[in-house]
Amino acid sequence: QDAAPAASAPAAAALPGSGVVRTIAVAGSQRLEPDTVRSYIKLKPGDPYTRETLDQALKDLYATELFADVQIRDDHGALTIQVRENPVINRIVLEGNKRLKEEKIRPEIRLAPRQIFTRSKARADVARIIELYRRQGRFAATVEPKMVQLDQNRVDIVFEINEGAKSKVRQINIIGNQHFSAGELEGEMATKASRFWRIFSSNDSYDPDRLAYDQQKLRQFYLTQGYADFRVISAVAELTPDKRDFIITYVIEEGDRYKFGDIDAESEIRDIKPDTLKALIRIRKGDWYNAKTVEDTVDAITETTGLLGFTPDVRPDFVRDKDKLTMSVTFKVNDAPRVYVEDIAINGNTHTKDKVVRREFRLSEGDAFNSFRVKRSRDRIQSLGYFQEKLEIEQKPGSAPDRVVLEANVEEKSTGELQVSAGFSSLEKFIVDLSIRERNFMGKGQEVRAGVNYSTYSKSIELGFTEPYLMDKNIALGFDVFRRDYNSFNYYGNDRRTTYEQTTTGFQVRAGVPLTEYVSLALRYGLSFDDVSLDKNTFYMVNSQGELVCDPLLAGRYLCDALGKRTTSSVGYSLVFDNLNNRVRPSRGQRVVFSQDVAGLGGSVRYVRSRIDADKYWNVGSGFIFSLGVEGGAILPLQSSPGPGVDAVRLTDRFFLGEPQMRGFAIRGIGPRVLRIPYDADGKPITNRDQMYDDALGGRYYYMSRAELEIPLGSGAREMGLRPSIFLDVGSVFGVKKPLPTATFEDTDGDGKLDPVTRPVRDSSGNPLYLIPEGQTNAGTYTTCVTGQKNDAGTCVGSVPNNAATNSYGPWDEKFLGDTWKPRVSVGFGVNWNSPFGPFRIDIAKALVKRDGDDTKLITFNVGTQF
Amino acid sequence: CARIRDHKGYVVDATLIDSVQPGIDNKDSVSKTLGRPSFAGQFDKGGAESWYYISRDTRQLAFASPRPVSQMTLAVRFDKAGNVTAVDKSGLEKVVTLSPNGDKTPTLGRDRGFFAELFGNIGRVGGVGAPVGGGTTDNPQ
Amino acid sequence: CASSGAKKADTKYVARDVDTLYNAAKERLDKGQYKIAAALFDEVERQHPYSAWARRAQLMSAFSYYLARQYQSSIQSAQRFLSIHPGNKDAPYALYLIGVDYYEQIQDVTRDQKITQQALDALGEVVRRYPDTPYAADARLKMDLVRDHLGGKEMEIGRFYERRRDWLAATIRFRKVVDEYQTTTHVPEALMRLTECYLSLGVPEEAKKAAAVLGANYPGSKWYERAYALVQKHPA
Repeated sequence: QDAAPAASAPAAAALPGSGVVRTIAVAGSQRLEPDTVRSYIKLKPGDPYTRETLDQALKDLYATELFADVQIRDDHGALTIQVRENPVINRIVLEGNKRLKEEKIRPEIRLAPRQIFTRSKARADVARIIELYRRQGRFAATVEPKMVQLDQNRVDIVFEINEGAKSKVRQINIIGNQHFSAGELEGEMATKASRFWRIFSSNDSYDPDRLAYDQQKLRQFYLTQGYADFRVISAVAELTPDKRDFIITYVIEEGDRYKFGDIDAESEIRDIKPDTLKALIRIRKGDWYNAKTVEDTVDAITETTGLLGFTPDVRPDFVRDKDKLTMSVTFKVNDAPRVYVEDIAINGNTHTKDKVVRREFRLSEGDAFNSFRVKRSRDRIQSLGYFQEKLEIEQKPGSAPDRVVLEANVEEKSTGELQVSAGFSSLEKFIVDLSIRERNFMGKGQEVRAGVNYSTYSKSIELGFTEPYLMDKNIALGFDVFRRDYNSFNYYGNDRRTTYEQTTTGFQVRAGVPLTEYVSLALRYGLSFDDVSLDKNTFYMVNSQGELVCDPLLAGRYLCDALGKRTTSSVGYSLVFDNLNNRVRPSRGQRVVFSQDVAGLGGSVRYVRSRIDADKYWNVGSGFIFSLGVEGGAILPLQSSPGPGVDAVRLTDRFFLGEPQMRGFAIRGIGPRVLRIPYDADGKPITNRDQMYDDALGGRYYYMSRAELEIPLGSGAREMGLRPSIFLDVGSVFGVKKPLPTATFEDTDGDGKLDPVTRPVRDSSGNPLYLIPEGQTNAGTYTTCVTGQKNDAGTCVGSVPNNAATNSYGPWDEKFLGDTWKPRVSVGFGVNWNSPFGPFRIDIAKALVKRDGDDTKLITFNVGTQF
Repeated sequence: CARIRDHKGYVVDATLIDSVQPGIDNKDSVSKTLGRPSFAGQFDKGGAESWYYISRDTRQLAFASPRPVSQMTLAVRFDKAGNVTAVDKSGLEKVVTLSPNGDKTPTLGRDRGFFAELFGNIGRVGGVGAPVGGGTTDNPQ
Repeated sequence: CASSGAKKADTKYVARDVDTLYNAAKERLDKGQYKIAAALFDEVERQHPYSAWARRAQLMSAFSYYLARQYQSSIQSAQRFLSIHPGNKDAPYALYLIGVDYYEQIQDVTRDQKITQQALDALGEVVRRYPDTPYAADARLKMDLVRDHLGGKEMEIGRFYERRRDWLAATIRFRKVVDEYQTTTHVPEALMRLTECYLSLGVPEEAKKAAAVLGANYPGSKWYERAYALVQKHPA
């Protein structure tokens, strides 16, 4: 029920112009109090008023946007402000938004329930929604605000959206390109003509700002090819007749191709000599003109002068020679006063403590500004992995011309990682790894790690803690406590047999110290107790003296020798050179680690193990990152071999290779192994790999190298953190003493085939067991009576002879394979995805070159990082 | 093994420093040639200021704290009118090595609970101004 | 308690007259269920924007959000109240409530102090616009504490540089405390730290002056004793 304003007062009352305000009455305001309304205008009772002041009062009241309609009536100084308030919003409803979800649009809307509804705000919100759709490439979208009147002057706002089709770029035409084909030029541009195979990519939708960006890309491309006079004459996007898509037409003028004239360098700063600059210039007279190399040279000069603490502005001067078509360049280094850092401000660190970021700065307040150190500081802060991807250190002007303020605006990222890792391999083993890791504990930069790993291969629990700056000094201290149960087993048919079980409990203390900016030294001491045992009832036999002893025939001689308890007390160091630009996702720089561990300070194990591990990353342009990794290791025993056919280095200390280092192979799928190939019924060795009983032995030496190329995807995929890559893995592990065969089979019954070997079955106390023959009560069960069965009193009764229970072990051909340094090669591709639970990796790899006995595997996936 | 070499503060330019003479230069000329000081005298009342240019080279062995190896302290004294009255240079001999006092003045502000710290940052968007209690396990939003 | 399941969403559409709604909200508030009370107060304002209770409800919703430690929503409610009723007699309280909302969210000195600055500005607003209300008195007191807190952050950074023997950087920080935070409790310590820094930078005459100023203004403080001892030990 709108209060009709005009009803109560004669509209045509002529305003008598000016006078003194006697009273100010407010009418028609329901929600606002009269004195609130009065507080908005400047008139007070007793003030003189004129027509202008009244108009001004009207304008003020409208400016508050609280009123739909305002009138001021004056009868001889008694002013009456007649207002009709804007309605209050009750609810806001979005209708028709299919492509854009509610939570995407809602934050963009200014209007909110319980606020005053104003036309201007409504119009602004409509424009904002349309802008959202534009950015999605839907230019045909329209938004219609509707108001639903409610009682008490309230209103519901309904935004009726009809999204219209996504307007695509149907065709890109380029006119005036003689030296480069349209396809080549289109390759340079971000916008692509929409084709059916581009269903995922979003850059085939029409977007005006991307149009401008494309023009710039075209220009850049031509400038790098020497066409200094290149110009884009026109770039037009017209709607197709059916108004759904766009056709983009570029008209360009390539101009002539230039060569470099003479190159020179001048410096106004005394300390910088021109010839030091010349060394940086890689452009030679006569090369084709290329704007990019000029830019790179300018960057190189700025960086080197930045190293000396200057912040010069380096400007190239071009001298164009039209007829000789040459472009000579002089790099001018203009004088700029040395700038000092006045203040380093760190903002946005709601979780991380200030000092955790500040200690990564390579310069502090009062020092000379040095662009190289600032870049190095950014790399170090980014390598912390606590903040957003594109972190930059901004330079703000200080309180004086030669002062600068460095600002690191960080956005905290979740640094707690809950990792669930599930592995699945050809021998259908299932691995579950649950570990929680907080890389920025208490915001102090400390790393806390707790992991429980359960798999059919190993059960382990591990706790780790690292403080990178002990008492703010440049020393990192950390310790790990672990208990690991490795058990390796295999399948003989479907009878699962544990070959050996190793339980390791121990701890490790480690300290790290920087030697120079890039080189650091890490020292560590580790103490661990190993207990290697075999599953007694399947692998043990009772020898003649009735002791339970490991049966080499069943478990293999090398396993029997590895039994028992051992303590390993080792000290080690690693020398690390690391100048990666970002340790979490490196794209430039290299990291080389050389480490040696000596076991033998007490403890029963003595060896020297050295390893080298080097990775280098190149950013080969437009997002492709190529990385080359080389790894190698050797372990030299310091104790003699305990017996013939047994290697001096214990099985658990040797190197193993396979998943996950070498993709395309199973766990420990590469390297020396003993393969038992049983014979089938008619004496021929079987071929089904899964039927074979294979046990990897590892080796004393190993080498491996990995070449990987990371392929950038469209912006959509990059947001989800998808990083596909193709890779090539080469490597081998070798060098172990050849074990003696565990059993030799002969053809005892002369039928031309090898015969099985039998082993009497004994009960756990060692006396042989007998099998009750058919026809007797409870036939088929074991008894210790040679004849008959036990009565209740436990003595054997009955004369029927039982037959001796024996286990027969089929003949097999035992081969020692894989002990060769010749490389195994596998190639494949995989996808890295930063899932909310942690990094997720899936690899599909084919083993191209494999040696006899290797165990390959096509697919491995892993949610969670490899420690 | 190798020590980390670092340079702190003002970058010395010997010829420029020698060019500053008492009686000739004043505040403007000095700030043009040498640039502004590392810091000016803090408690100089009545215009008789002195400017200090501190330049120091340090060596740091691994985790030990950095030790000054060479130092150049240039103190430029001005009179009330702003003319240079004296230029005194000093080196390492005046530098005192001391370790800072451990005590500190308390500040208000609650430290977040142990668990808020431990799990406070899992899956939380660290927007400034987000209510402190947001996202922690003990009172999920 | 199952009955407290009055989910925020469904109360939106149950049209009830203003008295029952307001009393329901009041009752929830007294029972300590602040979040639900706040939601119900919002309902009063939504369904009956023109009743006399609507103004009261807006304030009460801001207060309930504050008690429920939902500081952002409390700030928004209070700001909405101010935008509609700037002239109301409760406006000073609303402004004060915003200041306290920010004040409650202040984090310790090692972390970002953006909220502390917002608290300072909001409380400053209360003192500036309503100087003689009881809220202004409390706001002035809280402002000193907040400024002290900001000073604390500078000191924390200064001490960090000192621990790493970055004496020049530390000097700049401590001078900032002495210049910009004269009224805080950190000035004595800052002056003593400056004595340490000047001595370590090889500028003993400045160290003596700093110790003298500390002695003149804070003769009894332990910081002066330490500064005095230092200056005695290392004469210029």
